[in-house]
Amino acid sequence: MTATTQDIRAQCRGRGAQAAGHSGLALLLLLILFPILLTASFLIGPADVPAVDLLSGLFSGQASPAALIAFEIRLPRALLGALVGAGLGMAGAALQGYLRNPLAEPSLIGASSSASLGAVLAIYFGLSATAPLALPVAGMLGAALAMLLIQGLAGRDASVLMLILAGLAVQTLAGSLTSLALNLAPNPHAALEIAFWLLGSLTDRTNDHLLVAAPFIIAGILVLGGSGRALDALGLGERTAGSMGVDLNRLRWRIIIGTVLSVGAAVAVTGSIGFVGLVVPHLLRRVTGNQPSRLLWPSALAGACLLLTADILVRLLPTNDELKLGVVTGLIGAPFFFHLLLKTRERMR
Amino acid sequence: MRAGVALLVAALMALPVGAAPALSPATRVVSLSLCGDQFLLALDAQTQIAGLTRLAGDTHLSPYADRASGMPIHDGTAESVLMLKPDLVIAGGYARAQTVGMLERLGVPVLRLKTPQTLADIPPQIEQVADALGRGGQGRALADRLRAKLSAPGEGPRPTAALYRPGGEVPGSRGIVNDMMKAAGLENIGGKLSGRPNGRVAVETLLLNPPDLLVLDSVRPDRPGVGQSVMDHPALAAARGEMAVAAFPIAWWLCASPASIEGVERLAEVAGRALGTHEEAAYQPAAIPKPLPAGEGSIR
Repeated sequence: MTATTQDIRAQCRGRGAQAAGHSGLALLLLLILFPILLTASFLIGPADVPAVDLLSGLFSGQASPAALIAFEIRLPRALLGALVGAGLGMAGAALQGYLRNPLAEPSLIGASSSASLGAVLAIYFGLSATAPLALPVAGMLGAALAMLLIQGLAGRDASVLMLILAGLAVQTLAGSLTSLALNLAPNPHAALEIAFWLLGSLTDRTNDHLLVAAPFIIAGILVLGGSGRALDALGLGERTAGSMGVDLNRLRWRIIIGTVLSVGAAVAVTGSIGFVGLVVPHLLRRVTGNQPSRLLWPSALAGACLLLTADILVRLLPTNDELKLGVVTGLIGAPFFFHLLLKTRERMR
Repeated sequence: MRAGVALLVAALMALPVGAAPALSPATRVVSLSLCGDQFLLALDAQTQIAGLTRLAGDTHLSPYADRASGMPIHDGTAESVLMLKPDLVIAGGYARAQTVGMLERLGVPVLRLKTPQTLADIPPQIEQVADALGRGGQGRALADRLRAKLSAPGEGPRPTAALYRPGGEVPGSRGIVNDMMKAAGLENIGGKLSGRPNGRVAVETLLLNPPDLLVLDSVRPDRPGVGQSVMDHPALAAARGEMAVAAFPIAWWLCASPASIEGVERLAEVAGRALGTHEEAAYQPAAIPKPLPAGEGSIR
């Protein structure tokens, strides 16, 4: 190892140590916040059921309405919210680290909308009715296609602009194809369900959806979560990373597979929910510092918190029909996007 | 070029002169909505039909689908309707407002049928359409037969009911579904569940306030979608001890049409069967009127 690398690493460690104090505090705060939000998501809903009834119903195994609501409706909704949020947050942090680009995010690079397209094809043309696993698999195939397209279009070391444009192209194409597929579907209601697939929702998702998606999302999170060190090294430059023993090819596949697993399976059951992966790492970077290894797991936790909060909000807001999740995450996320754009512009000058 | 267009428009406007609905009977009638189709088919006016909507022959959605076979079909755009050279266009309440406006501007006589909100609104519309077709006597006869079937629903306790559609859509206190349930001796609580005249109801709200009878009219396992998956939510299957479930063909009330009045008997029949066989049922079967014998009043 050259002297310069050691210097840089030492420098990083110094900066890391500075952030470590904040980082620990933030992590602690998230660890406290997460169970609170998870419980709140379980307890809040359109039907006014006392918390005691819900909690006792969850463990009683009876067929009373409160028990059914607790086990069949609220439980999958809260758990799916947490898992999907964690997957999106983790994928956002990993993609930003890997592409070394603060604007990289599953939905901005088109992975989410392509996963939507895959799921739509599987559902509306009858595949998922015969084989339940076809749904997450189709979502993952869609996400994989987007990841490969982005790789081909923008390359790994692409400029911010190139990546965003390539993402926009993939996103637009997938979104249009989704609408087209829904309009061609034999179900006359299908065209009305475009909003679900483009904006996402957790309304009345079932334990079946949870069971079919959770294994893939968890696997994706684990694959991405183990890439922290390699991403740290990549942050020092490709050559340095190579000299530190990082197999770049392996890292690339790791990021692609992890994102495909977590985002593809999540979107297949909830529709595409934007901006979670953008906002979360950006917020956390202030307290954890820039090192991906310190950012990945807190991002998963914060992603879960953000999505649970958004899902609680859609149930509390007195709108006519429940808002789609993407509307809320978009409202929270778009200002961050503006902020990031302004910062990027300053740096480019 | 412009003169040509003007000439064309003038020619089109000149076409239907004197074809005002009530004066001379229309001979080339085009219906722009599935509901308009039903009125024409109920009157057996096949010889005067120049075009029906694509759905007219769908046995799932159109109660008179068997009478629509072989009838000319159009795609609902103004140009294809004009090509059929109609002397009367029957338009529904909301559908294709742009197309209807365009046809009116071009001088095609249009008969707009307001969407009936109650069963009692339907017989006058039958007469209205029959008059425009020069079938006044036949129309009055059909309308009278159907009027005779409209009787005030009996007093006393009524089983509560709600219609549950894909995506959790639940028709409330306004419209033909509500009136048909009333006539069949059921109390529609859809409006109470959603808190609006017509709205969506979450699965958990339905579980917490289960109606005596849950009516399903759009279960299509052959046409999957997010909305359909809400219809077979596992929690609903588990709650079947709480409420009776009846399947009712959507064709009877998708459109408020002459068939809707006959559909009331079918509704009372399926509701009575579902409530009667429901194990925990403690309802008096007397609350549900006996289906009338399908005699000469029967349309089909």
